[in-house]
This record gives sequence, C-alpha cells and structure tokens, in this order.
Amino acid sequence: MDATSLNFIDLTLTNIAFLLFVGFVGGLVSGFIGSGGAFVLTPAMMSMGVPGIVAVASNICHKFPKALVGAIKRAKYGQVDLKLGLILGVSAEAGMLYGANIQQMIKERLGDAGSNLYVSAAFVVVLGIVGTWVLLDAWKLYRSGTTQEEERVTRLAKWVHKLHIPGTMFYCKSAKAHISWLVTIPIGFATGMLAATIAVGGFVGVPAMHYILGVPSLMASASELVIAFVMGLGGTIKYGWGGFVDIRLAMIILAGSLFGIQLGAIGTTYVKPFMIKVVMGVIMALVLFSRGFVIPVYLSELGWITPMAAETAQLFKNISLGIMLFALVSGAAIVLHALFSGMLEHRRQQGILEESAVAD
Amino acid sequence: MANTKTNSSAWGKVALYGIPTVVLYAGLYRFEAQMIEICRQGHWNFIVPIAFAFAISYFHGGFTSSFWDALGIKAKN
Repeated sequence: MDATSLNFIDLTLTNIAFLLFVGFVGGLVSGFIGSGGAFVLTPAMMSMGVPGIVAVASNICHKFPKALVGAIKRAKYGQVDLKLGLILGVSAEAGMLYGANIQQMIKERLGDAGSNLYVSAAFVVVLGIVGTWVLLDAWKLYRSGTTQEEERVTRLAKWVHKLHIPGTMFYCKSAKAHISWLVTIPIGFATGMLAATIAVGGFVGVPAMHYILGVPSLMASASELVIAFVMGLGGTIKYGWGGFVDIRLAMIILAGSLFGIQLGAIGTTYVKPFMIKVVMGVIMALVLFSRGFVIPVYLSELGWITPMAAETAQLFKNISLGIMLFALVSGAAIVLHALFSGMLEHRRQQGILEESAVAD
Repeated sequence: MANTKTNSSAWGKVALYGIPTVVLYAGLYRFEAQMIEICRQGHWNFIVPIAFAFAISYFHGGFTSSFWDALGIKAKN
C-alpha cells in the first residue's frame, strides 16, 4: 500500500476554522439525533479537497475514543447491553475490515477520483433511503400528535425471538429474549461495512437492533456506542496501518465535535421527538444533494463520461460546497434555536411555578 | 455564597481538564510535520494516532462537559 502519494492537505487558518465549525455542527447533530454526525463530517472534509479514503479514516479515528467515553457514561445509566454490543462488534469488525479492503482496492485501481466516487455514491444511496424513511417517520409522529415514541416490538423481532437454532443461542438482556448469533452476524457485518465506507455504521446498527432484535431504541443507540468503539478501533488500526489517518484532521474535528455533541444532547431534552427526526431528515437530504452534484465530476475525472470542461467541474464543486455549507448552517441554526428557546421556556415555567409556590 | 463556591469549583474543573487539552493541541501544532510523517508511514506507527486520540478525547471530553456546566447550560430534568 503506497500511502506516500496521498494528498494530506495543507492546513491554513481558514481550513482549521472550517474544520472546527464542521466538527461542532457534526457533534451538534450527533448529540441531537443520537448518532451519525459523520454523515456531515466526511463529505465536508471531501469538499475541502481531502481524498475520500483519508476523510473516512480520519473520521473513524476521531470517533472511536468518543464512542468509548459515551458508552461508559451511558452504561452508568444502565442503557448499555455490553454483551450484545460486543457480539455485534465482532462481526462489525469483520465487516469493517472487508469494507476497508474494498476502499483500498478501489483507491489502488482508480485513484482518488475512484475512491471519491465510491464514497459519494454510497452516501447518495444510504442517505436517500435512510433520509426518506426518517422524514416519513417524522411526518407520522407529527400527525399522530404524540409527544413520545411508542416502543413496540415488531413482528420481525417477535419471530427472531421465537427462532431457536441449537448451539447458537445467547440471552440478550435488552431484548429480554434468547437470540441466535446467526441473526446478529449479518447485522454486525453490514454495520461494519457501512462504517468503513462512509464512517456511519449506526444508520444500519441502531435500526436493526431495534426493528430486528427488538431492543428498545434508547438501549439500541447506547449499545451501538460499544459497536462503534470496537469497530472504530479496528478500523483505525487498519487504516492507520496503511497510512491513511490524518491525525490533524481527526483531532481538529474532535475539538469542535466534543463541544457540539454535549450541546446537542442537552438540546434533545427540550424538544419533541418529531423535531429530532425533522432535523436529521433535512440535513440528510441537503448532504445527499451536495454529494450528488460532484458525482459527474468524479465520473468525468475517471473518463467514464464525456470529459467536463474545467470551469464546469469547478461550478459543480462550488455548488456542492455551497449546499454543504447551507446544510451545516441550517442544521446548527435549527438545533441551537430548539435548545435555547426550549431553555428559555423551561426557565419561564420554572419561574411561574416558584412564584406560585411563594404566593401559597 | 454557596453559589459562588459552586461556580468557582466548576471553573476549576474546566481548568483541570482544559490545561492538558491545550498542551496536547499545542504539541500537535508544534510537531505537525513529524506527526504527519509518522501517520503517513503507517504500519506500527498506527499506535501514535490512536494513543493521541484517546488522550485528547479524555481531557477534552472532561473539559467541554465542565465548560457547558459552568456556563449553566444543562439538560432538563
């Protein structure tokens, strides 16, 4: 693996400020919607000219220690199913290594343009599917007028709980059922592979634990942190061994992200659940368009379509960057507005309660 | 009085975690070229970014948490 030909970008003050801002928004979104801030971070780094494989590798490197800190914190609240997290983590590790191999193979054969095309196309497909599903779910929640999501065990999960394959069963305390690890292997593998491709495995892991294994969503998102740590550590070793981790990028986004993630998590306590999904869906849609606009540029660089004029390619890249910036600013604005207006309203209500208590 | 005490202990915690964080970031900035080279070489050098990420995550995580706390931005009970 020849990593010396890789383009580790020069960091100017503007680049650093942009990365800090992107990290902050990524963290804000991550804390607000539970996981997946990397769907903002990877494309934003790519918009700066960072090769796709370096963006994914650096992203994974900034994520896994954060996942460990988060998992320990949430384990104290009893939200983590450690056994399930580790079992899924092992197969996620295999998926991560397989996915990383595909990434490196594409990089070797097709160069940066091929790697960028692969990551961008994966983003468009995954964000298209998950984003549509999230927005539909938000719409359903809004129409139903409920303030809390109901925790139902799906029919599929009930079937999985009934399934008995001798020699493969283990007790899953979060699902309160015996589950075969033959069911968890594909879930973990898909989670790891997606993480190696776009650095966001949680898009598969969390919904799969909830809808297929019957794990409550709060425990699913907490246990996903264990998977994220296990596969993130493995992924960083794998990419780090190949020389693809840019520690500067990883640490700068971590700096912004740690500020954002805690603010975003605090924000969730002040808003209705459908609002969280609206934010997630809107940002996903914007990021999807941002990545979609540069796909023709990569296709042209690879010579798979009629070559594009340099000005046209630059125009597409500028549009992509513009949409990305709009997504970041609007995402941050929605979350911060929700947080501060919620806090003010809460303080106002507390004030009224205190006043009436004094009057009594 | 009690409030002032609580506030100063909160800012003390910010400093306790903040100072090592600043030192780590300053070190990364100062030895940027060497760090890039170590990362680029790959193989067993992967230990360096991993150890660095762990250290920064620990101190910076403590710093940001106490920072928002000290500013009074807390979750709704």
